[in-house]
Amino acid sequence: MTTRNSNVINALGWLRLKIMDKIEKINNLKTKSPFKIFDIVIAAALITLAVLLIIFVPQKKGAYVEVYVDNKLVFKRSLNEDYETRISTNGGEHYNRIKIENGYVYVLDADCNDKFCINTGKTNTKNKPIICLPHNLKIEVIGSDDGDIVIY
Amino acid sequence: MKVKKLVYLAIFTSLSLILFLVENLFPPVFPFAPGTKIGLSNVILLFILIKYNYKEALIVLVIRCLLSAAFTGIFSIYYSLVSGLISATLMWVLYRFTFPKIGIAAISVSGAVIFNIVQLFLASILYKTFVFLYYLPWTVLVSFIAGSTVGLAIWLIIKFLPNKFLID
Repeated sequence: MTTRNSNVINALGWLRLKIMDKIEKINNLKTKSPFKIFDIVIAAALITLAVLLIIFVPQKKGAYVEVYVDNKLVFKRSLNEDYETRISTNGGEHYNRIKIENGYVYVLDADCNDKFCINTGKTNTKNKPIICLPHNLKIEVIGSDDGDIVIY
Repeated sequence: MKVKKLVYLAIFTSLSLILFLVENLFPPVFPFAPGTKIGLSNVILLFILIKYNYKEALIVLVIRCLLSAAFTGIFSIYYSLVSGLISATLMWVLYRFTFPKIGIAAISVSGAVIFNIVQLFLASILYKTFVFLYYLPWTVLVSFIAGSTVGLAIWLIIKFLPNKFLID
């Protein structure tokens, strides 16, 4: 099938890249495999990205937990002792119940609509926060080197 | 012809909205990477990129994001619109200029990866922290699975739909 675009060689001509038109592309999809040889480029890029991230993003245990509501610190406590608290958000309309247990912190219960914070699970790692988007709440684990325990 | 296209785009918008809502009903498929999902409405986006063009895909995407805000809250516009626009642009560029060399599955995978990475960066900006880097490797892995699923789905759709539904 000869069509108007079939002879166009674009800027990447050295790759022998021919721009197909719509019908040629649909016919290609209908008759050929969904995987092509240059998919290797994308797969290699992704694997490299993931490996680099795993190597270079530090995963250190923290000692303190900080809770922010609307980007303001409302709660800070050591991870070492078990504790349970209820944090009111959205000006007292809603809540998140947070529990510290065996050195981990997690959200026990919340009345948000997506339950994202509960599904995130436990954390004791510095780079792994728990967030609750509808309540604009952030639970972060920090290291031991910044200040005393403050209970608000 | 114009009315026909309008009706088709309206149907596609409602289809992608339905897929989006049905997906939200189920618990998360990948619990180790919070916030990620298969992205079934991406099937519709890719289908429109193949059947029509970039402009029509953007129209459907923007209307779907605005309508879905009525169900999931106003926050979702900020996330889904920005990352959706960027990933749709990337998929269009790949499909338009490199298609016979890069397959449909890989196009869908790159779209999913960019969508999720942009979403994590938007969350990092909103919460004024870059701690979300922790989730990135898992996000890439999940996007790989999700993107392949969507890519194979769209390939099967194109393969078995007769040409009269595919050519405008």
